[in-house]
Amino acid sequence: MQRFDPGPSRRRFLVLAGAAGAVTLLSACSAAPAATSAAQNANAGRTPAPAGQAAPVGGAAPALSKPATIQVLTFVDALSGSDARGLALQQINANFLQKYPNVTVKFQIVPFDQLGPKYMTAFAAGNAPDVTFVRDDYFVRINEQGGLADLNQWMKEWSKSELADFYNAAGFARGVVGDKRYLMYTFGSVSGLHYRKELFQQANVDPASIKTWDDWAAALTKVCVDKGGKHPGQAGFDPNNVAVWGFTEARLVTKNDFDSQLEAAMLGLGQALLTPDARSNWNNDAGIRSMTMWTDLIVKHNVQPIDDITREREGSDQLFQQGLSASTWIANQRYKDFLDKSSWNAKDNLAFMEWPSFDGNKPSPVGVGAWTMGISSRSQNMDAAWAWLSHYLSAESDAIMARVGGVLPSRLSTLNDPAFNTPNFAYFKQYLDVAAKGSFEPSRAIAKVTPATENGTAFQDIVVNHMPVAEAIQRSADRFDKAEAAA
Amino acid sequence: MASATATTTAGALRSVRHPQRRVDLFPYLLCAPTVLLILGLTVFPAVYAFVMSLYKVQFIELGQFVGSSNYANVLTDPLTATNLLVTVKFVGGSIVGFLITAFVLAMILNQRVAGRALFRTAVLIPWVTTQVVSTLVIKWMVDFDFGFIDQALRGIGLQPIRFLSDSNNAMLTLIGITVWRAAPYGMILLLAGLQTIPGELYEAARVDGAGAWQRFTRITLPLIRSTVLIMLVMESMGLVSLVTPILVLTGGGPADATGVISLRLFKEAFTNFNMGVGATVAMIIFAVDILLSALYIVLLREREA
Repeated sequence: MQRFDPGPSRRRFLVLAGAAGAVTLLSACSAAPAATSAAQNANAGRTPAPAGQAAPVGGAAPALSKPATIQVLTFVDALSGSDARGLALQQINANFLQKYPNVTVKFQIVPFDQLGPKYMTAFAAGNAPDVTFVRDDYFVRINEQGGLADLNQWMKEWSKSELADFYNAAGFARGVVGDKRYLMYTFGSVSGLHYRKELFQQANVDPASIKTWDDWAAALTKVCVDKGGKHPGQAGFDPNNVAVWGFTEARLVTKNDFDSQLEAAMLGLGQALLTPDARSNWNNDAGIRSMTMWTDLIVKHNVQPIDDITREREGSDQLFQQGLSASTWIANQRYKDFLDKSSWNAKDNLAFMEWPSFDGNKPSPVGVGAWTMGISSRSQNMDAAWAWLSHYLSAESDAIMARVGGVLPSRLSTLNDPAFNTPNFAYFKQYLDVAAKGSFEPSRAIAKVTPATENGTAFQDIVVNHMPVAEAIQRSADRFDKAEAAA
Repeated sequence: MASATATTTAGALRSVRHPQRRVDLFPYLLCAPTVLLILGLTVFPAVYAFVMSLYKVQFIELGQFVGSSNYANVLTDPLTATNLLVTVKFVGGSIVGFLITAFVLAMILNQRVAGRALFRTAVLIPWVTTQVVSTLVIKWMVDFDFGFIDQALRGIGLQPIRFLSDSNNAMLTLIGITVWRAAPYGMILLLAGLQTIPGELYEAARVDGAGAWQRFTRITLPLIRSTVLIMLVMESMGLVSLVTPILVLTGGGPADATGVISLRLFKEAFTNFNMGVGATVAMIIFAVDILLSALYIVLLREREA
């Protein structure tokens, strides 16, 4: 009778299993190749335009013969169109699909603060989306990763007039390294103080008279009122029962824009937030004075709720939209949403004002920026990706984003279009007029670590723990420099 | 026939004297995919995390070997001590609340009361709700200026409560949310343990004149001790690694008052993208988990002894 051999002995089996496990562990311990330089990856990822393909001219899209599917990473909700920009992007994409019926576009929508990590992770894993929005504070890292294709391979065919139509110099310069362009800006952004006209009028405060930060604090003190009708500083003022705060702004450590607001005040004293080599520059007199000004709104003047330290952007926006605050900091791309969603008459009463400054001689500069987009250096559908991006950059799409999305046009031709010379779009010119008096691009774009986290921590240390401003500033600067050096 | 019987008998005798040492591979092959998956999702990442902690990591690619430098940086950073202290407060407070709440709920459900099934279902709702969603909803409920809880308090003439902007209240709110979510799970485990206790023991104790407290401390607690210990260790380990509600609710604030060690890991790894430092913090968390496991083993051995 033939005996059935059930297999190896127990000892032999365990030896084999152990060997397999050891091999697995050893493979984990081997050093991976060092990160390749941006230049190497950019060259590796770039594909020349196929022979015979028409070069793009002035934003005109190339012809695509083969079906393709592209992934677009965005924070703008193009699927449900839940806000104005989402609706605009839906329309832009619909127009693209009409031109290119053989291209399928899939949107990956993530929260804004996840744009960078999502793209970098996907790129490292080998499945990066073809087109992506790129946050200013992630460009350095993504570029080091070699994550973006050089757009000049297509844009070198653009006419000078076409290039000049993009008037936002700061946005246009973003993503340019040497003779390579990794990003192209889409819509512009001007950020600054927004307020409710009727509350300022009611308090007999003329916004035009606000020249200094002290003027502003005094104005907010008049505007801020509790439910008993008392103002901060008056006997009986109850900070637990405030009807209208003077100012609100997100100060949650993990999600805030405090770095750009701190920098706006510092620039009025001639200092930027970071040095050119991305080290902290707020541990000085300008930083201390600016931080003191911002924290005094809570600590000294009682015109900003301390609970702003628990709020992110949506929370402070909600406070303003519900009429519980007379002013806030907004970037203009949210202007239309505020018009649509505020519980008070925002159409007539929502206004934008210049930043005050310490000496009052000239307004502090407003932050300007631009949302930039790029193409993955490892995209398998480079032509389709560029077709989509160039369509998005076209004058037609720019007009849709401005008209439907309510954002500042990225092109001069759109801005000067008579269709936008109406009262409904008067705020475009207002933002640009203020920006023309003085603007800056937040310096966080040159760093790998966002300074907002440490700036926000310092803010909370001062208002919660009553830490001396200089000490909080020192600590936050040291921590930022340490994190940036380790990055 | 006789020779076949003799052969079979001889074969059986040989089996008794020389038990077969060969292994049937088939069951192992059936288990192999699951084991490999578990190894791939737990052991390999843990080992790779340890390797990363010895390097300066550029995003997820290993760069320069730095040895114990990451550990020195993290352990000498004053913020680490703060994070660990906050973690002890958070875990300690949550465990106490978790145990008491789970016990109370289990004791209620162990009785034959009307509406028990409905009550059990209602109690389980927090456990099955997505953590981010439930935390966000609660965050908006407790907002000082427009949240409905403080609005209600103002409406009845009481002073509103700063749930999140006061350091102590923020920690208590966080513990409250954690207990609210975790207690149903503990309740289920305890209920299972309680239902294994023979009713005769309680009857006998009643006959002997034991009061409710004596029955609880002399019968109930000793008999479910193992269950409680398992719950404690599992829940503690889970709490040490918890990030989501803290990130959503307070971001570690106000001023690091809720800055637990797991949030520090998140910040280093996914905000600053210092994966080497993040991996180092992960190893510290791993060491804490090992300590908790060792504590359980010691306590369980004491019981068995």
